[in-house]
This record gives sequence, structure tokens and C-alpha cells, in this order.
Amino acid sequence: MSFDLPVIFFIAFSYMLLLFLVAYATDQGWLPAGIAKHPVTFALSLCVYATSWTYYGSVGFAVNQGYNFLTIYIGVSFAFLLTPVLLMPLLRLTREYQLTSLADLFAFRYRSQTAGIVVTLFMLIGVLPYMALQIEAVTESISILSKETSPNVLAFGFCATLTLFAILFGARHISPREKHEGLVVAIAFESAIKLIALLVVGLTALFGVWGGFGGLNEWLQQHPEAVDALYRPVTEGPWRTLLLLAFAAAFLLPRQFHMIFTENIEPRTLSIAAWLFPLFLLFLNLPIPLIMWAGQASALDVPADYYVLGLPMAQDYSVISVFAFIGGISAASAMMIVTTLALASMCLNHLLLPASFPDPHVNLYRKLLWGRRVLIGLIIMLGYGFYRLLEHKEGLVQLGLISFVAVAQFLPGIAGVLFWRRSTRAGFLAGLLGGIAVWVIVLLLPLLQVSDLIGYAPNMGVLQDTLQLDKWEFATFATLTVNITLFIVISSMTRQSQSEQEASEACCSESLVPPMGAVTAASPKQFEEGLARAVGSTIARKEVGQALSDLGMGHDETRPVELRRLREQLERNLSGLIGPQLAHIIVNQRLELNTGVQTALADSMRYVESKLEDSRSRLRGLAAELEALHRYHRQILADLPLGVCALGQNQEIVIWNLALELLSGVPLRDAQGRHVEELPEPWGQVLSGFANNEDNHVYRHMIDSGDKPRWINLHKATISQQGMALFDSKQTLGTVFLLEDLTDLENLEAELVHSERLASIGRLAAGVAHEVGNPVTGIACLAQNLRDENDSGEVRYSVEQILEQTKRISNIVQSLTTFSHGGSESYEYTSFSLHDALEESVRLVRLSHQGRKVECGQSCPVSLLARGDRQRLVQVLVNLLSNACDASSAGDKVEIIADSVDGGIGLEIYDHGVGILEEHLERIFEPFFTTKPPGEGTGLGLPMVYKIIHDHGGTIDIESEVNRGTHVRIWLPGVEYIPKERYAS
Amino acid sequence: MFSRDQGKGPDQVVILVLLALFMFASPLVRWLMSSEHPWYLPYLIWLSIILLGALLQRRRGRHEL
Repeated sequence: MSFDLPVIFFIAFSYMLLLFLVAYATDQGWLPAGIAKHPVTFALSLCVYATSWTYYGSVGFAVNQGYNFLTIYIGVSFAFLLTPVLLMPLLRLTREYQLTSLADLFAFRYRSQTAGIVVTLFMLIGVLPYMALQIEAVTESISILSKETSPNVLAFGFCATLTLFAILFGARHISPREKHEGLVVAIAFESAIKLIALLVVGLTALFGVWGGFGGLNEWLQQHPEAVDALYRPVTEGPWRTLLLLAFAAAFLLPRQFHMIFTENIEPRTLSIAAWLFPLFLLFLNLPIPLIMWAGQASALDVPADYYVLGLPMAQDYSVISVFAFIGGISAASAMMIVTTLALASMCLNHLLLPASFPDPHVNLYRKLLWGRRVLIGLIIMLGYGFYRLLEHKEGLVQLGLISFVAVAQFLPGIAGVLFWRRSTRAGFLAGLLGGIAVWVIVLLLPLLQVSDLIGYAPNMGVLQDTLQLDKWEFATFATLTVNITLFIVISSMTRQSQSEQEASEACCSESLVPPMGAVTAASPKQFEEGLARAVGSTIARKEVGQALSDLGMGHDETRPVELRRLREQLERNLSGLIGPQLAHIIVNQRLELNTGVQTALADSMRYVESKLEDSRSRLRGLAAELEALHRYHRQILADLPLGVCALGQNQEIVIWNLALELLSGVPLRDAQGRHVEELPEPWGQVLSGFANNEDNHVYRHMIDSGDKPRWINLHKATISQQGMALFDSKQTLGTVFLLEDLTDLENLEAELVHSERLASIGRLAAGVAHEVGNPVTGIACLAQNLRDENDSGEVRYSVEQILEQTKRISNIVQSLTTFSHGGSESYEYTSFSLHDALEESVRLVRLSHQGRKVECGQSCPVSLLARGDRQRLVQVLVNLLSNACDASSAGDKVEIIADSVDGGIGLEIYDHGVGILEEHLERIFEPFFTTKPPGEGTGLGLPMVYKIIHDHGGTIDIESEVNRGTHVRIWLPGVEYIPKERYAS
Repeated sequence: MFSRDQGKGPDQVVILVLLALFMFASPLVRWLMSSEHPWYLPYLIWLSIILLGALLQRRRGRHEL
């Protein structure tokens, strides 16, 4: 069975087209957004680790080395088991400082462009054999499928397609700091294809060759040497060495670093991938022994490296053969694409840009984008060139392991990044260069010699035999021994520079010393001007805008603390764009720091708090308990029902608690770090004045904060430095203010005074009524007698007038008596229908002349029952409605709306009359205050209403606008409903 | 406030890695990788360690929430 070359080409081309479609559909949002962020997608995308080596080469590896082939995946499991202490800190670092490759990480940690260059070059050389391996696997698989020699043009076509894909979906954005969701989903798709393909080939082996597990067991019993061939090499081969190499490769290979850290869309997915990715690797490797035995049992005439393809072909399963071939293409293309993207980013940041940083007038974004695209093409073509140069005498595994030993040279450097703060740039470079030199001698030169590219390579056989190590054990041991020794010795002999020390502390997350100094640029505008001299005005404006938006700051920001943060954010963002070292140099040159300025206490505190927040889960023992205690104290301050504000030595605001946010209306983010005088008025004036005042307490200070005045008590105390050694200072640490809001208390007191005033007027009125009432009664009696005894018309008329006037006096006296003696004890509380009471009130008002001219409308549920003295409440309603009618013109409408509100009854009366002047509004509940002409009002109506409502435990509130009308709102406690049956009847 | 569980996650991870090292990188390997055992034994050990890792991750995830 074989396939024609054009058919194979068509299949491969169609599959690549499908891959384009998957990536394009994701980028266009045709697929659900959650797919790219899903942990399964992330874990599958990490399976880019499994290349042609796994797909095809594992069987060959198993034939030669038995179960040693599993080490390449078990070692990865070790690295991912250590996710919380190894991968998570690296992810945190790369995200925080926008480091997009291993070269970025080392250049950042060791503050050395040379480190970046060496890592990039070594990575390039170390990975080229691996890329050549992928191309070889693809061309070889085509040869097996077509049973004829694969033309080189196919390999070239494969490389060209990959270049196109990598440029279209891996270099879409200007900066690698932006994630490529399409790429992640496409790589995950490729991994799923190769996983399924390998499992299908495994099942083909199981059922096609032996008819199931029974047949397999029978065959194994007949061939005990088959299982023995798997187990035996473990005890003889380089088992532990391979575990170590795979451990390093799991996260240090460019493609792994790129997918784990650079393209990680959702950090939480890494925790799940920590076990899901090894599980996928296990499933990928499960069919390998079966395929190997099936190939041996069927005596396939293809090399063991390609049993995966040869087995279904031997059994004439054409569909499965094509699927197996596509799986191989998936494995090779995913590796090539991701590796190329990672290397292109490294080459751009550490080779191209340092060699020729563009003029400020050149568009940096465009140059970066095209630089990356050109580099992608160049790197893939380099891989192709290496493939053409190599004499294909080495197996797939051999080429892969050479790369594995190369990346293992970065392990000491990683230990320096995460754990050994003392390690220095010189130590790292010496160790790495030493390791590289040994790697070249022991592995690269022999590879080139085998390919006839060089005539001579040193022979390490004698040394190897003396140490009784195999090739890989010896290479790993020799390279790492030289590397680690030089790293430790040179690091111990040299000192770190200031910037290197800062970077090492940032990496180890142990530094609690806040960044020192203030930026000389005083505003974001000046940031743009400074930066424009290096990267051009357009880029400077965009980058400053981006950094401001990342931090949630405005363009008007001037606080030194915030500007310092802006500078750091800018450096991080530029690091994602042009690499950490160049970003560091540009920011240092163009946005200078005045290191003489002492770090503000607010800045120090915020820095320490954010560090504690980041490292809380990693704290142990006493540190963890202290951190918990610190959070407890901070929470007490935050939740204290008094306003708390602490000022630093320079009167900048350090603490601003929630109660103070509510009292002042100034949020914490606007207050913290700001000088106290810069607070919005009136708070800036009040607090700065109090800070400079000699008195430590100010009582009942009135603040006009807009609509209503507020009253506050202010207390202050000096913060002594006792026990605060963290903040190095010989002076006091600042001042703390306590602000007590007295506004409610003040309002309550005013209400009490008002009530007392009303009560005293009531008592006075009662006395006056009594004293006036008796003589008036006497006058009325005498006048009646005079009327009865005298028939004279003139006298009778005068007497009638006297009686009329005494009647008026009696009415006033009666009102006064009612007002003063109307205590709640005399009320008769009943439940009554509010609807009926309103009807009655409207009817009574309509009896008056003015009431007839106005239209009264009411809206009240018939079933609603109010609780209170019905007669008094009807009196209230009549009073209010009369007032509304008096204020309205003929034909106006007065509306009454009542319903249950907050467990009571809410009643509102609207009129559209002349309204009440603002200065009158404050006095309308005062007895004898009236705006009506003399003789038409006593000024006791509304005070009476107020008193009755108050006695019922309710509230009344009147709003009015001149010439627009008046709105009265009453609330009475207690609400009932007429039972349904009564209501129905 | 002062949780007894804090910091257990990484400790347990280290114990699991030590267990994995014991199973796969100690002289025990010589005994485990013997043809007397079924061919799938290394896979079973590997799977158990992955599942233990998953269990720890789930517990850690719950504590972090």
C-alpha cells in the first residue's frame, strides 16, 4: 500500500488549511471566547512538547532503550508537580515584568545585554538540530507513505507554509506581550489531533495484530523477552540523567517557555495544567509499547522510528495511515511554529535591536513587527538549511537529546533567578559559557563530524569509559559540572551592581525595600517628551497612555508617588516591546530619577502592602502570623466608624479609611499619596489647618461641604517612631487624625430645641387661653343679656358685632387650648379605612368656597387600614388640603396618593399652586407663623398637623417651589389591610 | 484569622515530589523495573502520582478561593 506524492501533498496542504481556519476562527471570535482560556486548551497547547520525537521517535527509542523513553515525559511531570514553587513564581515574574522569553528573563535578572545575547545565540544553535529533526521526520514519513524518495521541494514547501502560519497568527500584534488566542487554540488543536492519532494507531496495533487484550497477553507469554527488553535497559541506561534533562526541558525549551509563560492567557489554568498536561503525556505514551510489539510481531520493513506510520499501512488501513501521517505533521508543525516565534522574539530583542536601535523618527512599532516577521522566515530557513546540511545518520532521539542537554545549561541560571539572590552576572555568564564550550566539544562537534561537515572532533570515549558513563550521562555530567562550578565560584568572587541587586530582589520576591527616588518629570506630558527623544513622539504618547490606562491614572496626575509607579509601569510595558535591558536603559536615560529624594511613607507602605499581598500564600511560621496580625489591624482601621487619616512626614496622606471616604466623599485612591493641602475643598483647608494648629482637639467644627453643613470633632496625635524601625527615620513619623462626624447629633439637638420651643409656646398659649377665655366668656354673657334686654336697633347691631368678635376670640382660644392640651394620651387609637377618611376630608374641604374651585383627586387602595386617632388625622388632612386649595388657582388639581410604604402608610399631597418661599419653608411648623392676611389664619394649622403626626410616631416633610407647587409627604407607622372576605362583602 | 492550614499546599507538593523521586529516581527503580511485573506497572505508578497531584491541586484551589 502506498500513496501518490500529489495526494500526500494535497492531504498535508488541506490539513494546514484547516489549521489556518481554526486559528482564524478563534481570532475572529467565531468560536466561543471561553475556549482559548479553558484549562484543557492550555494543557493541550503545552503538548507542543511532544514533537515528532515523541510521535515517531518514541517507538525507536523504546526498541533501543526500553522504558528509558518514558523518562522524557516523567521528568516533565516532576517539573509540573513543582508548579507552586517553580513555574508559578516564573509565571508571576514574566507577567509582572513582561518578559517574553528566557533570554528576557536572564537579561532582566542579571541586568546584562550580554546575557541576553549569549542565551539567544546558544538557544538558536541548540535548537536548530531539533528543528532539523522535525523536517526530517516529515520528509521521512512522506517517503514511507509514498514508498519513494521525498523530493526536497516538499520539505521546503512545508517550511514555507509554517512560515506563513507563524507570521499570520503568531506575529499579528506589535508586541509579544499581547496574547495570540488563535495560535493557542490552533496548537491545542494540533495536540489533540496527534493524541487521538497515536491512540488510534495503538488500538490498531492491539486489535489489528492480536485481536484484543487476550491475544496480546498470549503473545507476551510466548515472548517473555519482549517485556524484558522494555525493563532491562532501565537499570543499565541513563535513566536518572534523562529524567533531569526532561525536567529542564519541560519549561526551558523555547517552545515550552513560550506556551507556559508568554502565551498564558489565564494564570489560574497553570495550576490545572500541572496535572492535566502530564496526564495527556501519559496517554500519548500508553500506545508506544503496543505499537513497538505490533511492529516486531508483524516484522515491519520500516525503521522502528516510523512504526507508527508503517503499522496501519501494513494492515492496509488507508484512512488510519493518513490520520497517522496527519498526526506526525501536527507534531512537527506545532513545534516548528512555536519554537520559531519564541526564537524570533529573542533574536529581535537581543540581537537585532541592540545592534541597530531605530532612530526616533522611524516608526518603532512597524519596525518591530516586520523585524519579527523577517526573523520568523530566517529562523525556519536556518532550520531547513541545517536539515539539508546534516547527514541523516543520527536517530530522531539523538538530535532531540542534543537540544535537551543544551537547554539544561540554563538550570543554574534559573536557580539564580528564583532562589540564589547572591548570584552575579559574571557567575552566570562564566557558568553558561563554560557549559556551552563543553556541550560544543562533547555533542555538537561529533554531530557535525558524523555529517562530514568537519573533519575532526575530539573523542571523549576514554574519559567516558573511565567514569563508566554512557554518552548522555557523560555529556550532562560534564556540561553541568563545569557550568555549576563556574557559576558558584565566580558568583562568590564578584559583587552585584546596584541595578542587578534590585532585579535579584524583585525576582526572589523577598525585598521589602521600596524603590528610592522621585522622577524628575513632573507630569505624564513630561514623560511623553522625555520618552519621545528615544522612541519618537507617537510611540511615546501611546506607551504613556497605555501605562496610565494600566494603572487607572489620569493625564493630570502629578503626585510623585504615582509618577514613580508610572515610570515602573512604562519600563515593564517597554520591556514587553523591546526587551528588558533596552527598556531599562531607555527609561533610565530619558526618565531620570532624583535619588536624593526620600521615599514617601505612603509609597513605602503601598509597596510593602503589595509585596505582602503577592507573597501571602508563601509566608510561613512567624511571618505568616505577623502578616495575619497586620491584616487584622489594617481591617480594624478600615472598619472603624470614625474617620482616620494619617499623614507622613511630608504631610502626604498615608491612611484614609472607609469612614473618612464616606464622610468626605474623597475615595482612597484619590487621597493616598497626595499632600494634605491638595485634597478637594473644604477638606484640604480643614485638615491642613488642623495639622498646623497647635491644638490637638477641635470640637464642633462646622464644615460647609456643599448642600448641607456638617459638624465634626477633630483629634490628632503625633506618631512616634518607637518600635517602627522598618521606616528608617530619626524624626516623628507623622500625624494621625480622628474625625468624628457630629452632624446627626447636631441635627437631633436642633430638633430637640425646636420641640422644646414648641412645648413652651404651647404652655404659654394654654395660660393665655385660660386668662383671655374667662373675660371673653363674661363679655359674651353680658352682651347677650344686653341684646335680650334692649330692642333698640342700633344697640342691637353693636351687640351683635360684639358677640361676633367674642365668638372669633373664643375660636382662637379654643384652637390654642386644643393645640396646648392635645397630648397623645387623649388620642383614641383605632384602625380605620384610609380611603374613607380621605373621602371625608375631601368632602369637608369642598364645603369651603375655595375648595369648590379646585379639583381634588385621590388614589388610595380601598383595603388599606391606617392606625391612629381617626378624627385627628382627618383634621390633619383637612388642614393640608385646605392649604393646598388656598394656594391653588381655580381649576387646578390637587392630588392625594396613599399606599403602604416601609411597614407604614405613605401619604403624599401634590398641588400646583403658588408654592412657599424658601425662607418661609423653614418656619412653617412654628406656631403663629402665617403668610395669610390678618384675620384669615391663626398660624396654628400646620403646627397642629406637625404635632398630631409626631404624636402618632410619624414624619412629615414639605418640599415646595415657588409658582410650581408644593409636595407634602407623610409617613405613619402601622398598616393593616381589610381581610379579603370583609373587603369582598 | 490565623489559619492552621496556611502554607500546607507547597509543603504537600514537596512531599509528593519526594515520593515521586523515591518511586522513579531511587534504587527502588531496580526492583520496580523488573520483567516479573506487568508491562503497564510504570504507567500505573506514573498515573497514581499524577492523580495525587490533581488531588492536591483541587485542595489547594479550594483553600485559595
